[in-house]
Amino acid sequence: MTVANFIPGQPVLSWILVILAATLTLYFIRSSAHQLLNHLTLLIVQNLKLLSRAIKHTGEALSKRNREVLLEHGRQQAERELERQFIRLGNLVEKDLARYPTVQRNIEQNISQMEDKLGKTSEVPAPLPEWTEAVESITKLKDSTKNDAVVGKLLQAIYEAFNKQQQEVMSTYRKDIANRHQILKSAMGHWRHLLEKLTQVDRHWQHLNEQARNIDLQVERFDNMVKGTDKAERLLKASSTTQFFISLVVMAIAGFGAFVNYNLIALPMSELMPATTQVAGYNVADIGAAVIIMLEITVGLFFMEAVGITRLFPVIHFMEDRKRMIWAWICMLFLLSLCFVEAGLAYMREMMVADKALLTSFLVGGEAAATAEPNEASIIPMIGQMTLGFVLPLILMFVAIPFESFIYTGRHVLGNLLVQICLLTSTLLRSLSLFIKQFNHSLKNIYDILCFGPLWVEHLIDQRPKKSSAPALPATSIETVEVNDEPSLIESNDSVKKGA
Amino acid sequence: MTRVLLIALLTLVTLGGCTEQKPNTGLYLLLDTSGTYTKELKKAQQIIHYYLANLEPGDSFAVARIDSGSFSEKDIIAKVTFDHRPSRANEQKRVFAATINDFINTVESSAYTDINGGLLLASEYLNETQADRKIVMVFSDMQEELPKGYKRDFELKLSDYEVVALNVTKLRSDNQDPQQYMDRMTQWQTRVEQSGGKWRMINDLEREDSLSL
Repeated sequence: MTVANFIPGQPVLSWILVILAATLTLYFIRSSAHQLLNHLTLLIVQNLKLLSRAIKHTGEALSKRNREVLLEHGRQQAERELERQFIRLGNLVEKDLARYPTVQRNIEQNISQMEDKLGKTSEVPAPLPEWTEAVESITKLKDSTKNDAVVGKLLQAIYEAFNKQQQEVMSTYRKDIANRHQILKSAMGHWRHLLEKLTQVDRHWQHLNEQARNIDLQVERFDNMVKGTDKAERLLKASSTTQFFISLVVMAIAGFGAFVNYNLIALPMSELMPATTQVAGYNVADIGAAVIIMLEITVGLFFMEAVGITRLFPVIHFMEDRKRMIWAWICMLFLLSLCFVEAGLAYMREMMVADKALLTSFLVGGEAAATAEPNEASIIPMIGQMTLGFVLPLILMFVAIPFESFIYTGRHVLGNLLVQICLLTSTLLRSLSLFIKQFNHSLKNIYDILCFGPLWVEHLIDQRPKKSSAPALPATSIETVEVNDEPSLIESNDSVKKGA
Repeated sequence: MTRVLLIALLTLVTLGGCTEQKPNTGLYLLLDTSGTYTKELKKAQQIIHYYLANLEPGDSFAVARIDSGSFSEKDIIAKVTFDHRPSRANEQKRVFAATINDFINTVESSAYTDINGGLLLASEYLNETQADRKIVMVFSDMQEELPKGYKRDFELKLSDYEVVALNVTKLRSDNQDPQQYMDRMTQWQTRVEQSGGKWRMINDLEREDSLSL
């Protein structure tokens, strides 16, 4: 029975009747329908908000944890740098201060030598001869005897002797002065030596001061890390992201290197391992080649750890120095063995390729082609392959450095990414809850449009001037329902907030 | 410590359990040596060389002749399962090629052509090899002629087999009545397919892609 046949033969009337009945039904159940919509909306919105808040809290916790991890990593880095600075300072002090007794002895020796030489220069020259007493005796002679020829001769002789002696004395004096000058000149070398030593000491002290200033800076940085200041965090974040991408690029390059290495040894490995066996769809020989490369990288990691370049394995790092060095030598021994194995495999690969080529030429061209004198083949490819086979494992060893950086910074970068995803999801859930709220309003409005007739009538009745004090019961009841609808949602939201 | 050993043992057992044999191929080539068809054997030698170059360690390859009574091990010219070591496999290929070369240089024509006997022998050999892919190639004009008293109406079991007819030359009678040729081919195809095998025919031996396994 269709709607049009509700009243047989009166389709229009049937339709009108049905629409009228539907409108009235919608009007009478309006309050319940609105409540139902509100409750459903409330249910969804509250759950979405709860979820959003939970994700936001997770994001915040992750962010906090990231910060802790970042600062801890930074602290470790600063600690390592500080440690290195102290080692440098220790070496410097050990190297320079160890020589200080020698320098001091040298300076003292120079000073005493200079004192000796200065002492020599201060020696008083020999006194004048005692001819002055003779002159004094002549001056005491009587005037009558002064004009005597004998006296004249005597004076003449004295005069000559005086001149001669004066010349001798002057000559001796000059010689003496010259000697003193020579002594002073030789003392110049000691001065210079002394100056040089003192300059050297000054330079060392300056260097020491510079190191001390560096240590001060490092200590300040370390202090910031320990305090967990925002500045330290900002610096670490920038540094961490940069390091992450750099290590990623370097590791990608190393990955290509490993791929080349794999291709170099995959074919000859089929001679060593059964080529007809597979594991999970991969040839055992290929897996063997990959395992060898992974072993090389692992041994390389251990070696780098043992020599103190990386700090991935605390067990190795905290070994005694002697044991650590033994461990490093063992790793190097294994690594070199693997290098030789790879070089041998590369050689075998070349032999296999040549054999395959020979077989193909035999199958294609027959016995004559196979036994034909081969062209003068260059051994360069073989040498190249063997060199690559030997060198590549050693190069792959250095992947430990970017790998360490990748591990440490990757944790932070990944954590940051997760935080951003959490925040985005939380925001999206909040937006969705808002959208659902608005959608609920729109649905209610659409509902009201569908039963606009009775609502309009109700509105008219409400607007009519009231004759008696008693209000019309139905209109009030509807209004009450309408008023009560909205606060219920708000109250519920508040109650959820309080609960949370 | 015991736990670590247990885990290591478990890992080894798991890996061992995952180990499987690489899918291998078993190829059996039947060469028709009847009448004037022996002139075509040089082509067959090239095909054998082609497959020798392409077969891998672990694969099996056998070449047998079709003569008056082909259901006999004496008709197998050479057979080999290639070693898992490539260098050893290459050596086996050389020996195989030399054996085939000797045969082709000394072969004598047979009076009859027992193709069904050859097919039965091929199926038995390939069953023994337990190859994952079993291919029988028949280098012949597919005209069966049996000596008196030979019965070849047995049921062939060729499930999972591919039967490839190679270089099916047209006989003089085929030229006179091509329907004979078509009937002959249809008859072989029906027999192979009814036995559970797949039928294929390659006449253009220059096309490498059609020959590829």
